Amino acid sequence: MSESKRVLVAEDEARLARMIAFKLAREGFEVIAANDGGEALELCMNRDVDAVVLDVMMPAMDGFQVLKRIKAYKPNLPVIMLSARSQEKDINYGLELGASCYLTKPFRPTELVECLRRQLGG
Amino acid sequence: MSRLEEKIIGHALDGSFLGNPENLESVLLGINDGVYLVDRDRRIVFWNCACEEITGYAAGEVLGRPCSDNILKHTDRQGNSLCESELCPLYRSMLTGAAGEEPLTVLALKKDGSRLAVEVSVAPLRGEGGEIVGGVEVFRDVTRKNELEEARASFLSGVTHELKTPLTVIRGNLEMILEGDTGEINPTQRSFLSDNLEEAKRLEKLINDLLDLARYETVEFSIEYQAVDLDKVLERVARNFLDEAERKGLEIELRLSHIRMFGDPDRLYQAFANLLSNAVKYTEAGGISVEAAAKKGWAVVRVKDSGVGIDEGELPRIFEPFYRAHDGGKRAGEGSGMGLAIVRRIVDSHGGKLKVESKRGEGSLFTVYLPLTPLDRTIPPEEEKGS
Repeated sequence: MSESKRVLVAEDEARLARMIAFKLAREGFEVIAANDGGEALELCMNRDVDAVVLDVMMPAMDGFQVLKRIKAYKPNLPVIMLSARSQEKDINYGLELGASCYLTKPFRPTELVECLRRQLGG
Repeated sequence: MSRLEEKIIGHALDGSFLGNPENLESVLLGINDGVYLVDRDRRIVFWNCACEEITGYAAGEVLGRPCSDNILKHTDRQGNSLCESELCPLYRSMLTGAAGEEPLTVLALKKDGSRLAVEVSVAPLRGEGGEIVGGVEVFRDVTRKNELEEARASFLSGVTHELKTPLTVIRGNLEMILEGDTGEINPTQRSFLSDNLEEAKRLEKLINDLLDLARYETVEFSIEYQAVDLDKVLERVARNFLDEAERKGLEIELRLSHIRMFGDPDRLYQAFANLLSNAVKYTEAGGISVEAAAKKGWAVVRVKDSGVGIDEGELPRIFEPFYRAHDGGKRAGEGSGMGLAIVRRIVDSHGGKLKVESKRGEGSLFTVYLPLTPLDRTIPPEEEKGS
């Protein structure tokens, strides 16, 4: 089996973060967690990550802002957005900013895994 | 109680009472809604106190001037002027001799240059020979009402978003447990957790409906008009319900007639999907038909089923949010009661009309009238007199 992929999960809701981390670990991903947008950016810059799972609604710096900055210097890094906002214009905004995938809450844990696998090719 | 009130309550308005112009003028002046009268040339001949308060114009400033003379400047929400055209409700009622069917919300100009939303009712005034000699417009400031409605809708949408995160955790954890991610569970545990998952899905549906309704209730809700191939919308809707209908042994008959119109395809899709969803849900035998026809500038779509039908007494209420018609408790708990409320919002916002005919046990017929072009606010074909 190939080396496990490292996924940064930026989610300020602790129980949702726990659910995601559990599922991703079980599916063989290595997970590092960020509690807010700032921390997510910092980890993204200083660590090697293969993909990012990013919540849109976070305090201080929201997911869209984080996404913009990540894309500015790592344009090829796959980013998956999680959001309660399910209107088409929100989804399109995320995709225009360069998100690879936009999952609306409530999403299923397996959906997230499928999304990551598609982006990471395996 | 004043003498005036006594007279009205005691005698209603008899001829001699109406005949006294001074009394009538007192009533009109004192009404809380703006009331003004125009003559045949649409010059303002009467302007009550509420008109002064709402618009900032004193009677002396406007009497004798035509109402299109920079006074109220009615526009639609997009800012298009309604003056001196059939789009102006007052102009139209004086032209046709018919009172406006229901209050129309338009924007009006105040003396200080600001705009306010007013709800307008109109009627023509006739002379002794029945000829039209002028018109009356009654308007009400609905700015505050609109603001409250918007605040309510944005609160609802905020709350609803807050509900989605906990629901994601509840659903997600249940799914992981049921899919074996956390190890073995026994059959009893599985069945209880499956129940939880189904209930969580129900909550999700309710939350989505609430969000939709909140969205459609915002006052500034606007339709993103584009050319729509109505056939395609209806075909897509029908396709979406084919499986469900087939499982119940029902057929969906589709009769189209190449209708192209202006509208918002996503919202039209949702409106017809809600109608068809109900038709399939409440029909056990027989069939469902969707029939579209173009008539005098209107698209008329009929969604007909042979299902359980609706009690006549319930018909006036079925378009209210959360209202669910009774059907012997068979489907208690299913649905949120918002499907039809959403249909009505969408149809209304397209400037259309929605009609229902139904009897308990004899199926239902929902008819949707949509203007083919956005500003066509004539009367839907079937409601015209003599047709």
